[in-house]
Amino acid sequence: MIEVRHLKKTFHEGGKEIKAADDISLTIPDGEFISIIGRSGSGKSTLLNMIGGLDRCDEGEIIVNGKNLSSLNSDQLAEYRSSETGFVFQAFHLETGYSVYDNIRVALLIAGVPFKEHKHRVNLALEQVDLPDKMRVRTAKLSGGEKQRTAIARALINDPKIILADEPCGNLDSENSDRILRLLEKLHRSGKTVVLVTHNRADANRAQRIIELSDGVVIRDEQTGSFVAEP
Amino acid sequence: MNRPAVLWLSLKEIRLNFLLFVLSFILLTSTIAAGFFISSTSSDMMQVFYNYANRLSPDKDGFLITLNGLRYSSVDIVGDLPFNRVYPEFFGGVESGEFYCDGHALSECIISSKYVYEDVIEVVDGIAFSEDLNDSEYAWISNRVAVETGRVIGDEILYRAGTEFEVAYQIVGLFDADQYNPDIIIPFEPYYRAETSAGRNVDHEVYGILSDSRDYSMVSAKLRERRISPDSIMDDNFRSLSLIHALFQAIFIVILFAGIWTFSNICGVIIESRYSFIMKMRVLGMKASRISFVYAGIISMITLLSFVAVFFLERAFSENVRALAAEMYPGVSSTPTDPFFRIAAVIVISAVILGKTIYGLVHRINNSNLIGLLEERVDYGGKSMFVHGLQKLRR
Repeated sequence: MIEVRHLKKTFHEGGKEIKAADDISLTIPDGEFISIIGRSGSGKSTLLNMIGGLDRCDEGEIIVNGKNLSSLNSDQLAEYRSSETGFVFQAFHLETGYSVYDNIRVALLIAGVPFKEHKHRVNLALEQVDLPDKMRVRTAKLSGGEKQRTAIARALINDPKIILADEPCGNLDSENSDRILRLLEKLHRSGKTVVLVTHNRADANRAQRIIELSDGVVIRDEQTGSFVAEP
Repeated sequence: MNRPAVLWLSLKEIRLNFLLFVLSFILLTSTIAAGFFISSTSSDMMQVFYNYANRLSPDKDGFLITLNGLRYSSVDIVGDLPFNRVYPEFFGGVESGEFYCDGHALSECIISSKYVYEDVIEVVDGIAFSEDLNDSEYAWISNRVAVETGRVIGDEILYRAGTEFEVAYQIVGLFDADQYNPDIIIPFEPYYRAETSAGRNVDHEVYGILSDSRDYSMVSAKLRERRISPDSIMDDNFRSLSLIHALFQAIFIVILFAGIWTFSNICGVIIESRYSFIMKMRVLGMKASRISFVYAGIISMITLLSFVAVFFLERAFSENVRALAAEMYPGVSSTPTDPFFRIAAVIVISAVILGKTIYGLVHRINNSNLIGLLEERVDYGGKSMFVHGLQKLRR
């Protein structure tokens, strides 16, 4: 369970104060698939980063499975990111000089998984994302969709409870976007909590619940069926 | 410490940046080795000079220094300096008219008052010259004087300093003399006492022999503090060579500094070019200390390998140079120089510069903005063009 309580975060840019989170409170039960939408600068990525332990809030607290992220130090947050979350980014953030296998096993190494388990686990992860034959290919040679599926495999490899996806389809065509979203749905069905940040309402509708942010404030928090897309 | 991850990443990073690491290794090794060669050659040159200077000393085992301004009565004030021996000498002939034999002044005699322990003149009868006899009223006369005056061992001759002071010298030895030798030899000390008692100024020279000419500059400085001016026949050479040696050592330090500084900067650029990767590792949950360890380990390993390479290169070079010098100047240049200064300089300069680099790396990784990476807002500082250029090349 992810509990966000009275979360506040302010950025200062060019002398201006930008409120990325202004007293956000919400609860995400285990196994839920939610989408966070909003315009650019609405604070959706900031919220995702704070849930993922990449950024710290100014005020309030985020409690993930009983852990208050605000009270964790840098090393504990690193441990949390490694063991409890899996990140998927719009820009993939794969190491282009590495093969698919090495990009994925890096997460295993960081988590301290013994070497002998790497190959088997990477194989399983690649099967899940439908890339079983790309293990030895350098990521620079993959298509955008394949890169994102590799990133998802890396996010899955340590079997985290939470998948955090920040605009995962932002750089992909519709076919690949659909494929990625189907993967996220599959992960959700397997019991993982999936938090998807997107600006695409159609993509957001694939989730169970949609939270809309504007200027750091939750302006809508609804189940998908009741959500009405704005023109 | 997650050793497998650190090791795997280290090897992976070395492989990915192999060319840059090899080039930085070559740069570091070649600059330190060049500095070592300059310093080592200069030290070898000085060593040759020291050995040569030592060989010129009268007793073939030290460095002869003239101590101007040191009087016989104040020889003790240089007692704490590392002289093998300090001795005053008076080679000038004493006026023979001041020596008396049976009440008559000797004439046409060359009389030498000197420290008798060292002389090439061979005593053929009586007591041999000895340093122990320097304070004795003994005299050695040539066979010619013995024949002319009828003096034999055990007889006396009288030395008169002015009208009041007389010293009776007992003849203790006879020697063969040619035309270049004195006719009578007396020890300096009783002569000096008599002369100074008579109020005469004895013009003499005081010499010191250092056990090793390498001590010269230190001894020279201490002597000058005591208002004694040291002088040696090698002085001009010594000063010139010392100056050149100091200059070469300074060049060595500059080269060393420049080499390690450049290496440090290259390491900095490599790390900058890997900054995005480093941040990805941190996003995936790698602790800052571990990822710092990866790069600090690589930098330290290259440095260590360079030092090992320099050590062997320097040895090979120096041995060859010494062997060549020994062949050309036998017995002069075979002593290896002490590399302590060079090793200490490398350790100190490396520790300071690389310590700063590694501290900067750790600080940078610990205080990096993970969000900046995700939003492509990584601050590359003034190196952005170079770093981005490297990244483009890598892709």
